[in-house]
This record gives sequence, structure tokens and C-alpha cells, in this order.
Amino acid sequence: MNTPGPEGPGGAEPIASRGLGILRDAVAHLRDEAASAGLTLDVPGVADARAARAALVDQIDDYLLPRLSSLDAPLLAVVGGSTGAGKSTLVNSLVGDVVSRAGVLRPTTSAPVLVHHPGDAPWFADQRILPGLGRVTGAVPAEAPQDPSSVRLVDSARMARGLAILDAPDIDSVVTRNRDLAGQLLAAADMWIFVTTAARYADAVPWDLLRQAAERGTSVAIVLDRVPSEAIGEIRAHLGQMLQQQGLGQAPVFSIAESALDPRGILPDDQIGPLRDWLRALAEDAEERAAVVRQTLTGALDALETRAGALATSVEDQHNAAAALLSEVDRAYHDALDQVARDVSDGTLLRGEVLARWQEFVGTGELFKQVESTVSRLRDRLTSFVRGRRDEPEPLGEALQTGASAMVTAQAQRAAATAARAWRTSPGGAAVLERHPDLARSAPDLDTRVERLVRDWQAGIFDMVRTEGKDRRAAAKGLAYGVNGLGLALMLVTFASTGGITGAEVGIAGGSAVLAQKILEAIFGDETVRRLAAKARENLVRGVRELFDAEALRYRRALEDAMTDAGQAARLREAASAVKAAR
Amino acid sequence: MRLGLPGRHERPADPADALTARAGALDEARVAGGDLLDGDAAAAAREVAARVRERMALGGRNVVVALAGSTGAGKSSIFNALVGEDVAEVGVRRPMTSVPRAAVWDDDPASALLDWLGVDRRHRVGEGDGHLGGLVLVDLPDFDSRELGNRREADRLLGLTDLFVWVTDHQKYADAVIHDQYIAARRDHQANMLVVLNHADEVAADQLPRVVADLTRLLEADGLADPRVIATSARTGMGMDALREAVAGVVSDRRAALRRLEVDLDGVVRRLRDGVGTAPDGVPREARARLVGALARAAGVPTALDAVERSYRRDALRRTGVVFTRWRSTLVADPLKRLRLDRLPGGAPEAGDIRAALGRSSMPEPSAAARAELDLAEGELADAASTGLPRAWADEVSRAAHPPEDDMRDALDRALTSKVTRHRTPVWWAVAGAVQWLCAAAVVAGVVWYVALGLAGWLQFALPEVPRWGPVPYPFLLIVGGLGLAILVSLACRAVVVPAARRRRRVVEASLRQAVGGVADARIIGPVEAVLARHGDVVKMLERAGGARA
Repeated sequence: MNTPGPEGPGGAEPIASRGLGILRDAVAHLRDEAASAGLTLDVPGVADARAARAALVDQIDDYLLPRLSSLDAPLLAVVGGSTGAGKSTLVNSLVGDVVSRAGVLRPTTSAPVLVHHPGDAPWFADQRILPGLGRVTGAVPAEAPQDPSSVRLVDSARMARGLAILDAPDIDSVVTRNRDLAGQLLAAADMWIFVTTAARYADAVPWDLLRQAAERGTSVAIVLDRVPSEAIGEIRAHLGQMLQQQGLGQAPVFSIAESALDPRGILPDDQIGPLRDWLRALAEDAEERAAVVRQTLTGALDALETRAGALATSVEDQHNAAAALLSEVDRAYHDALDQVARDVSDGTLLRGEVLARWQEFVGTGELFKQVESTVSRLRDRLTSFVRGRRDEPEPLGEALQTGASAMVTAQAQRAAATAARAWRTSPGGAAVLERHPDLARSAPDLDTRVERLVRDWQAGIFDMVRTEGKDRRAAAKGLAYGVNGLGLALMLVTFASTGGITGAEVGIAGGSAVLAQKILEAIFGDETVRRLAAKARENLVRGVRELFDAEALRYRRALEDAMTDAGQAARLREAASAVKAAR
Repeated sequence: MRLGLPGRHERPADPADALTARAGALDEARVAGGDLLDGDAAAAAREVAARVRERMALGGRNVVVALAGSTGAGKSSIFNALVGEDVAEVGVRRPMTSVPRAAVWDDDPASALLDWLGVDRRHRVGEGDGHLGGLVLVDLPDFDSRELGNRREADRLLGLTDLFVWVTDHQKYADAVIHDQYIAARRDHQANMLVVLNHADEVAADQLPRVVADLTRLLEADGLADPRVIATSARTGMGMDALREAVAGVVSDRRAALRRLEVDLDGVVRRLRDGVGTAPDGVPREARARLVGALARAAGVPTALDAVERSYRRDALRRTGVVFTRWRSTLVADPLKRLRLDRLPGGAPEAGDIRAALGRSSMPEPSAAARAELDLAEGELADAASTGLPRAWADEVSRAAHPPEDDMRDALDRALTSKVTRHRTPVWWAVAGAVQWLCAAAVVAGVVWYVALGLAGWLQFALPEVPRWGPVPYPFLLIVGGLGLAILVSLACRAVVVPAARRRRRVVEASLRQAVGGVADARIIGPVEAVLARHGDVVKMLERAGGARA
């Protein structure tokens, strides 16, 4: 299937030329969608996904778009293979001149060299293909440093018109940059000329690439280089067997015996001859050439859908991972808010300190005094003076405030700790948490914000009492208790009004609230008291919700760059289907 | 078993024993660390420790040298050249060797060692000329061909060999596989490495030094200091003497196995060390103080103390106050009794009291705020105690610092009921009380006197003159004097009672604080410190496994 033949693997004409413009646009659209695919979260496999995205975008830029723009452009054969396989020597020998540096040191070629017929120069001089690489012209300087980010263009009259060869860096040396560039160049090829040697033909790395080529339907020719002449038969047979297994059984194989090079480093003619002739014949036969182009192009286009689909899956993974992280945060703060709402209404806030203060308040008769002291402010002042103490409800108010603040703060801290713990163990979350270490706990100004929130809420309660008292007959009566006293009573009622207190505490904590409720009802009427308490509770919970939302927002911000819009995966798939439909 | 040349007495301890001891320490560290260590590192540690013991048990007579390299680099050819006869098949098909083969330079077949290595194809060379005596040379399958089985077998044997001989050639010397996945990954073993550039005869003589220099540069980039490359050709015999000599040098030294295992030990110790940290010596004072404060509040200590103080004041004033106003204090219940903390000092609760059975107080449940504060204090204590610890340990500390709330509440309540008692009644209360009663009696007497006088006057009895003190009649003196004295005594007592109540509060507070501190130590600090101690054990064991003197 890999022999360039008159028919592509699909059998029918793969590309209708009239639809070429549409197809090209569809591919360009797919490229833009792929390039903007968000892969920022470090979920498992994201490195592969990023590499796949880069490879996809590169191949569309380097190969598919230029090839779709001009089907009749010269055929580009990329010479690829292991380091030390003799790629450069092969290219030099094909051209009959030293165009690419060969040598004993590995890896030799790091900048790609593209050799073409002088007449084909316009095809390669501009950025039509390989737009990411610069262009340098002229033969390779002997010892000048090679620039791996540009393609060296060499024209040679000995090249056949219509076919250019590109000497790629190795695919397996220690230089990572070479491996990446080689991969990019091979993806941009109309045809691979795969060079291996007697010592290397069983290496794992090149076979991975060959398997890829087989899967993609790329046209491949194999050159078995540096074969000891006595072993040609055996190795050739073994290699043929291996190619067969890989589904590349029909790829042409050219063997080149290990032979003495001429002083310029060029292989003897009888060794390079068959390959050169085959290439020349291919160049001259326009139909054959078109078939090769079509085969590789079809294969690349076929692969697009799977690759775009895989990318879309990765994007979905990202989206799901980000959504899962966010839902952990939302759940943590939601639970915290629930707990706050429960604590606010079930009387737990009235325990401990508040209860003690209340008992002090009631037990020492201060309340009775306050209740009865409609006209006895003077007396109060006097007793205060005499007893050296002021009969004010402040300790109770303070206890209520610190109680509520501490409870809200603790719930916020707990939510932050829960969210951080969840992130640490979630895919992608750990890395985000490392980038934003402050997310492990609540915002540093949480305490002050909670205090302000509770203070504002208290002030709101006093306001409520004041406005409620103003337009009532009860105003005069209410005034006597003082806005503060009534406000505190209302707070007590708020914190216990669902009466969720059980057991022995009913008489204590509940009782205190019941007493407070009685006073309030006497002044405002029971309907109003219920309404006020509900409103006060609602206000507090709303304030806490806003506060928690602000806290959760910190996590949301950290994920901002990772939150791809939900439609991206679908758009990628759509773009891939559009490509399919346009063919 | 002894490893090392006979007569090497300059080392203080036998190196083989020292190494086995280190392996033992490594095992102990692994067991002590348990699931708090990184699972992979722990598995590697287990494997290395087992290997150390196995290898040491096999003795140090033999040195295992492995020829490892790419397919086609000529491992088997070198093997044959060293053995001196064609033992291993050599061919052009790639990959050629897929089953390892060993040659033993020894009169003893070294069967146990080869069984341990799992090498079945064996060839005995014999003691020979002596300077390779003890050598066990293993020809490995390649590690870079498509045959994954070869690679697995090579990797397995590379884990067991003492000396690595990396064989490559001028085509393959820059391959990523050998550098990134093999040499650089074992750079710590560089003292046990030889690098051979085979097929040197295929490179032009004037180019060979450049190739060797380039390979040396790549090896340096892999992290080897001063690597030595031996250029050989098994075909022409070039460089084979140098290789033989280098191998003989290692073999005659006999410490290759020790060195290799030492490096492996160091490697896993380092990996395990990444999973531990530098723990603080214990729980910091201020964190403990905060925790105790939070626990005290959660236990309701302030409420209890208020009750203690108020109860004392109430009792004192009731006993020493003006008799006529005592009824007022009965309006308020005894706060201690209400909390059921009114156990008599040193005594059990009153018989028939339900507390005798339950041992529980009626303290109100801790408020949401107190609970939250306790939670925070526990969290802060955990943070302070786990500074510098890796996450797994920090999480364990955090778990230890957050015991179940119910247990805590129970323990705190027991501390409270055991420490809070009803105050004793001081003698002076009785004295002052007696004075108050006397005053009251005087007042009553005065009033009765007046009433009697009035009644007598109304009934027109003639009465003797009321005795007077100056112009003041005695009954009046009794009333005013009694009241005045009662008030004076009451005021004087109040002046004494208020500070005394406060003192009483402080005394109880101190003992409560101690009791709560005891609960904190037993339930939170103790478990946290146990985790820290466990961590310390692991660190100490790792230090010993790392070669530090115990």
C-alpha cells in the first residue's frame, strides 16, 4: 500500500479539485481551533496532549495547507533516520556534491538542508511550507555553526525538476531539539526516504516512526545503508520480514553496501544509482508523482479526524478536571455555608460564653432591672456608680459578636482546608495549588472581613429595631429598654428561633431566648418578632454567602486560564467533520 | 561471608557486614515509615535491601561484569574476544543475542551466583592466567531494539551486576537511549563503569580521537566526571588489552560489588529522604498554650470558673450577710449546683446522685464558636508541628491533632468534674454569721422591747423608766446598734469575700488548666509527638542506612 501507485489507498479520487478551496478553509479552521485548544491543567497525559496539539498544528501549517494550496508543487522527499545512518552522505551522493555536512561526530546534521532544482526555487524560497523555519541559501559552510531554526536551501541542476529532498536531523540522538525538528520535518514530507543501517535496522525508535507512517498511509521508501557486502542478503531478508509485519511490505527498499567514499565523501555510483534513478523516474512521471502526493495527503487528512478527536478528548478532560476542581471548592463552601446557617438558627451560638453572659445578665437581676426601669435611668446610674459597674448588656453583645465571628471564620478556614486537600489529590489540582500556595488557607484578611460582616449585621439589627420602634405605639415602651437591649434580645431570638435546642439545654439556652422573645413580643407583637428574626437570620446568611463566594472566587481565579469554554471540544470535532465533509 | 581481600585490616569494620547492617537499617526505616513513605521509593528500598543481603550472602569472590549496549554494537564479539573462543553466536541479524550468556574465570563454577543472576548459558574459562580470576562476564541482550523482551532481560540483569561495561560504536554513540535511559540514569555508579567504543577499526585513524573526544563530551554531559572511553575492535583485537586490563583492575580490587550496592543503597536512601524532612523538636510552646486555651473554652472552663467565683461569693454573703436580707440570695440558684459541679472537696458526689453513675457534669455543650476555635487551634498546632515535613507526614500529624470531638468532650468533662469542687466553709464565716445572728437578735430584741412598751402603754400599764445610755433608750440602741453592726460586718465581710472568691477562682483555674493541659497532652500533643518521633526514627534509620555511624 505504500508503493506510490496510480491509485490512492482509498481507491477513488481522494480530493475533488473543485472543492479544494473549501477543504483548505476547513483545514485552516481546524488548525485555528486546535491552536487555541486550552491544555493548561496538569492532568495526567497533558504533556502528550500538548505535544500532539503542537504536532497537529505544525503538520497543518507545514504540510497540509501548502499542499492543499498547490497540489502541483514539487514533491518533497524527506530523508530521515537514525544518527550515524549516513543520511547526509546519501543526500550528498544523490546530488553529487557536498550540500550537507557529513562526518564521524554524532549528530552531524542539526540544520535541515533542502536540495531542489533551480527551477523549483520559487516553491521553497517563500514561507509556503515550513513557515516556522527561516531560510538560508547556499552550500553549507564547512565549520560555521548551524542554525537549527532555519532551512538551508541549495539549488542543484542535478536534481530532477519536480522533486526536492530534505536532509532532516536524526530522530534518536541525545539532542532533543534534533528529534523534535526531525519529527516536524517528517510530518511535512510528501514522502519519507527512511535511512537505516545494518547495525540499526532493528532499533526501536525508528520503528515507532515507521509504524506511525504505516498508520498514516505516508509514502515511504527505505534505504538500508552501510551494509557489509557479505551480509546484504541476510539482512535484507530480515528487514523485509519486519517491514511486512509492520504493514510496510510494499515499500521499496534500497540497499547500499558499506563502501569507500570518494574524497568528497560521496558514495560510488553503483551503490547510489538505483535510488537516484528511482527518484528521477518518480520526478519525471507527473502521474506517479501526483499519486505519491495524493497518498500521503489522503493519509494525513484521514488522520486529522482521529487526531482532532483525541485533542478534543484532551480538551474535554481539561474542562472536566477544571469543573471537578471547582465543584470541590463549591462543595466545601456550600457545606460551610450550610453549617453556618444551621449554627445560626439552632441555638448553638447561644451556648458557652453567650449563655454565661446571659445568665449573668438575667441571674444578677440586671434584666429585671432593665425591664422595670422605665423611669429609673437615674437610679441605674446611681447604682452603677455605687457598685462600680455599669449595667450594660455589652458583655453579652460582645460574646454574641465574637461567637458569630469565630464560627464564621472557622467555617471559612475549614472550607479552605477542605478545598485545598481535595485539590492536592485531584488531577491537575496539585500543580495549581503549587503555583498559588496562598490557596491552602483562607484569604489573609478573612478575620477582619468576618468581623466587619458581623458588626455590620449587628448594626443592621439595631437599625431594624430602631425603625420598627419608631412607628409604633410601643416606641415609648421600647425606648426604655434601649435599642441595644432590644437588639441583643432580637439577636438571641434569631439564633434560637427554630427552637432546635434539645434536652437539658431547653431550659437554659432556649429559656434565655424565650425570655427575650417574650420581651420583644410585648413590645412589637409576635408577628413582627418572627419577621424580624427571619430577616436578621437571612441577612447574616446572605452576608456569609457573599463572603464565602468571594473566598471561592480566589480558587476560581486560579483556574481562570484553565477554564476552557465548554464548546471548544465540540468546535474541534465540528471542524474535523467539516474537513471530512469538504473532501 | 567476608568480602574484600584477606588482610585488609585498615578498615574499622568489615565492609560487607557494614553494608548488611545498612540494609537492615534501611528495612527498619521502611517499616517504621510504613505507608507514610513514597510507595515507589519504599518498594525500591525493599528490593535494594534484599539484593544487598542476597549478594553479600553469595560472597565477594566473584565480580559480575555485564556487557551492555545497543544492538549491533558488538557485545557478543567482545565477549568472545575476552573469553578467547567463539562462545556466543555473532551475526548480522539484529538483534542477535536475546538470552544472556555468562563466562566464569574461576575454578569454581559459581553456580549459586549464576542461579541468582538467572543466567543459564554458562561457560567456564577457568582460573586462567589469574589476573581475571573471579570474573563473571555476562553478555546481555540489547536494550534498544524492537524486541522489548530483550530490553526487559537486560534491565533485570543490569540491576544485579557489579560492573557495567557500556558497549557502543561510532554509529550509535550519540543515541538518546544509551545516554538518557542508561548511562545518565546510573551516573552515580560511575566508579563501576567502563565505556567501550567498539568497531573502532571502521573509523579512519585520524578521525578516531575526535570521535572518542565527542563521546567523552557526551558522557560528561551525562554527569560522569572524567569518563574514560576505550576504543576497541573485537575484529582486529585493537584496544582489547586495554579493556582486559581495565576489567582485571576492577576484578582484582574485589570491591566492585560493595561499591555498586553502596551506590544503590545511597540512591534509595536519598529517595526515601525526599519523603521525610526536618521535623521540629516537638510541639512549640505557644501552639500548646493556644490549644490549651481553646480546649479550656471548649470545655466551658470560663463558665465553670464564673460559677466557682459566684458560688463562693453567694455562699459567703449568705452566711455572713445581714440576716434580714439573706432571702434575696435564695432567688438565684447556686451556679455550681446548676452545672452539677458541686462535689464536696475530696468527696464523692452525694449518694443517689445520678452523677455518681455518670460522672458527667451538666455543662452546656460547647458553643459553635468554641468548637470552631478548638478546630483552628488544633489546625495551627498541626501546622506548627509539621513545619518542614513532607505532605504525607504533615497529613498524619494533622490527623493526630484532630481527635474525634466526642472523645475530647468526654475527657474534658471528666477533667472538669474531677477538679471543680465546692469550696470549704472557712471558720470565720461561722464567726461572722454568729455575729450577724447576734445583731439580728439585738434588733429583734429592740423591736420586741418597743412593741412591748407600746403595748403596755396602750394597755395603760405604768412602767418603769426605760433605761438609757445618755439620752438614747436601750431598745433603740439595740435596733440601731444591731443593724449598724450587721451592716458594718456585712460590708467588712464583703471586702474580704470578693477578693477571696477571686482567689478561689484562681486556685481552681490553675488546677483546671493543669487538668485541661493533661487532656491536651494525652489526646493531642501525645499522638502528634508520636508521629514526630516516628518520623525521627525513620530519619535516624535512614542516616544509618546512608552510612552514618550508628
